[in-house]
Amino acid sequence: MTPRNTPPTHSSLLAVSLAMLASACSGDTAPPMPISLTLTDGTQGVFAPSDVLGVGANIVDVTLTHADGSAMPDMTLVVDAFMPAHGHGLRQPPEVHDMGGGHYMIHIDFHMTGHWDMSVGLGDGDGDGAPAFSVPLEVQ
Amino acid sequence: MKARSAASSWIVGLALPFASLFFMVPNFASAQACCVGGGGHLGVVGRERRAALTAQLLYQRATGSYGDDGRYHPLRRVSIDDVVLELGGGVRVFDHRLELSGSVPTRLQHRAFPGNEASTRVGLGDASVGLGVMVVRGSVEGMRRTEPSSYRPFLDLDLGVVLPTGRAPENASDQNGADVMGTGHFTLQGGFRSSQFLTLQHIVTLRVLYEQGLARDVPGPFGITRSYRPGRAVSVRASWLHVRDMRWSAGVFTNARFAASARQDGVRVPASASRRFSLGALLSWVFLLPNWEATLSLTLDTFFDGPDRNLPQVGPSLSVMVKRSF
Repeated sequence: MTPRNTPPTHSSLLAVSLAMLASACSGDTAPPMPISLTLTDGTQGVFAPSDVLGVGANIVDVTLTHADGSAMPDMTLVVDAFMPAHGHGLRQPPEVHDMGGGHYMIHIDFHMTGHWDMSVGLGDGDGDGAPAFSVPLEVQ
Repeated sequence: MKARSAASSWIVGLALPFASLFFMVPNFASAQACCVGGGGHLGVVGRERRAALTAQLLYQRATGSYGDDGRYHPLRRVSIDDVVLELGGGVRVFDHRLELSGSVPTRLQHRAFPGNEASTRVGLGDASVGLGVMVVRGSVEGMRRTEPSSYRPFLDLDLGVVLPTGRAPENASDQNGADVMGTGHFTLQGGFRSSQFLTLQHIVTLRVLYEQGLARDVPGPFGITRSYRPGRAVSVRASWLHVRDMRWSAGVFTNARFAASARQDGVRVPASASRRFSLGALLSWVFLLPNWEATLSLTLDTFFDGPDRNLPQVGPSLSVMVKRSF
């Protein structure tokens, strides 16, 4: 959990801004469904999605930056999700692709509609990850 | 008076087994393997029968969901289809006052979601066992002002357990969740059934069932184990049945299910309390007198905003049940 460059302590982590682009991937040429996540609480890492994801395959585009807007590269992003109302998680773990420069592409499958908590962890380049903050998502 | 007695003998004879049908219509648990309870197989044996065997084939298609705000969201570009074959039976003992019953469902589930390959899986669902006790043996000849005893309804108390024999969500691997066949936890049930013969041919019933799923450990994000306990739930079913003649009967019913919030590590989970209302109708045919009958049943959700809440999958269900009484 030791970052390679800037230590992602919770305080610096909370300064991270996340820009996500989600795509309810239809497997054909359906356009991506954008989802914007805006950091609304600098101390708790609470995010307010402006749109919802769809049941099935989704692509979430994540960009990590420091508070000053500079890129936060060479991190390991770990993602998982859980449906607290029903006590279960995803059937398959999300795939995270490092696109470079603090930019990540997440393939995530939701098999049920409703409220999900997406847990996002940041680790160092060795792959160690830990829950860092939770992003509430509505899947329809 | 004699004419009435003669007519009543065969009608009552048929009405008694029919009176058990209301407890056999498709329930919420059959319709969805994961996350929504309401199952059980209580009250399968007709009032004056020794035993019964049943086979019920149910089909449900999920057409939408309800959010925490009660809004209905149609499921688009999604296929969620379930076929459930449920084999069950029951036997009465101790002067017909005690009924032991059980059922085992086998599920075939098809899921097709955007961006994924469609998947279809077959597996054992959550089995159930039940115990019913007839507390009050009611009148079967219809309500008459001259006979106060004719106002006495049947009253049965029920206890049941739904067993986690189906594959739990955490043990499933299909990306669409088609192999999730059960809830993963034990569910204790208790309640009562009451039926009243308004006339020789009109019967109303009320069933109330309380359910409590037992807590269990589930894997959370990043492998962290959490204790999860589903919310307590109460289901109410009211129904009316008309026995037309020796072979045919028909009825309508309404279901309501209220579930309290789930708990995770002892803490209430927000937006997890749910409620569901549905309506249905059934048609029953004794195709081989007097012991073989078939019942066709259709159940519909409300499909509009407001009454339902926090339901991931709702939709119409159609079932055919064949029952052999002894």
